[in-house]
Amino acid sequence: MKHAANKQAGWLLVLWLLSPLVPACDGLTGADLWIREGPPGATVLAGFGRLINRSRETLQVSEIRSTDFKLVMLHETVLQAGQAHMVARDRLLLSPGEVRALSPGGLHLMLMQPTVSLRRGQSAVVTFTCGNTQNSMVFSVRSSDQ
Amino acid sequence: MQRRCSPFVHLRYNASVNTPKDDQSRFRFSLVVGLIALLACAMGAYFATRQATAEVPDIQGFLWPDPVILHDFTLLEAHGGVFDAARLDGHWTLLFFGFTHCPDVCPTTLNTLKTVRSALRDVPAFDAHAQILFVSVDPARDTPAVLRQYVDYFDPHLLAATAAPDELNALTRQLGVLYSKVETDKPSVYSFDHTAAILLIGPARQFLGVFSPPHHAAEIETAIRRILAFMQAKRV
Ligand SMILES: [Cu+2]
Repeated sequence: MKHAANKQAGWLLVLWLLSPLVPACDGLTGADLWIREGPPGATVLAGFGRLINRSRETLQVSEIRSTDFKLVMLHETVLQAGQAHMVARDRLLLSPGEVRALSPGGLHLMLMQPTVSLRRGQSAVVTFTCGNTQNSMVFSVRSSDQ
Repeated sequence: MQRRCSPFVHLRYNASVNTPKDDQSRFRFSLVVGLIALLACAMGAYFATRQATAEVPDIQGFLWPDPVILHDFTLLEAHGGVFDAARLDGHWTLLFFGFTHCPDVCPTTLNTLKTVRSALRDVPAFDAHAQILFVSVDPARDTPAVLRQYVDYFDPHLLAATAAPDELNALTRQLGVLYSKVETDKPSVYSFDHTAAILLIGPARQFLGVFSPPHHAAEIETAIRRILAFMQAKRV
């Protein structure tokens, strides 16, 4: 019993020592974050903007969620021989100082099954998870012709 | 009609002449004639090539000469009724394939199409007869009612249509458009890979242009202006 407790404490010590290496979302910021308004009743919307890693470590975004959508995925539109493919990306790595654009025709947040009706002028909160830390950002809804 | 061009017939004609003097002068004469004919042939070939080049203007995406003429297909139109090949007659049609559960490429392209359409308002031959058609490759989810709501949001003048796969393929095959369903581990979450080009159909059902992505409205507008000018000059 005591041996097991020691072993657990040992692991916790290792994790504590390694913790500076676990990327935290604190350094992650966003700029010009927006969601393209969809037709009334749209079940999928897309989110765009810029994600910036202001920390000195590489950040790994492993999960994206929002209470305003049942499912959020990171997608990339890839054009190959005139065909548009939407490819799901399961994580996003940002090196120190990197600015990653989410833009129409490229990387975007795939925001599925909205739980509320989002019209232009309104906003939605999207939460990014890196390791065991989280960072929430506000995306404002804009007209579709942008 | 193509004519054969050969200077060598003249030389062969001279082979039957008798006296050496006559022979020599006739030979010289025929050599000159032959050379002139050769020069004429070369010039003819040069100008024919130049003319052929001039007849096919260098417009990106322009499918000329011999555009495919579209034949029968029948789609269900979002605003009721059918959209068949006859609906292309007399119109300049800008065509795009997609699906309403596509939040990135499809809205972007529809906005590009709206921009192109309004930029060409100053061309009466186009403006009076233009139509934009969005064809959904996802008939299971994109019922006419869903499609109507989708395109009306972008512009009530947009047309939208879809059909069961067999009917849909009757059109996509003629245009070389490809699409395929992409499933995920969640049965309700799926999308389509699809040809993202904007297609231009002429008023006599001619498949005249393919504008490949990424799209720039100004470039498409310029290309269509040039195609219209070319078609008007040729009166086709
Ligand atoms: Cu997507």
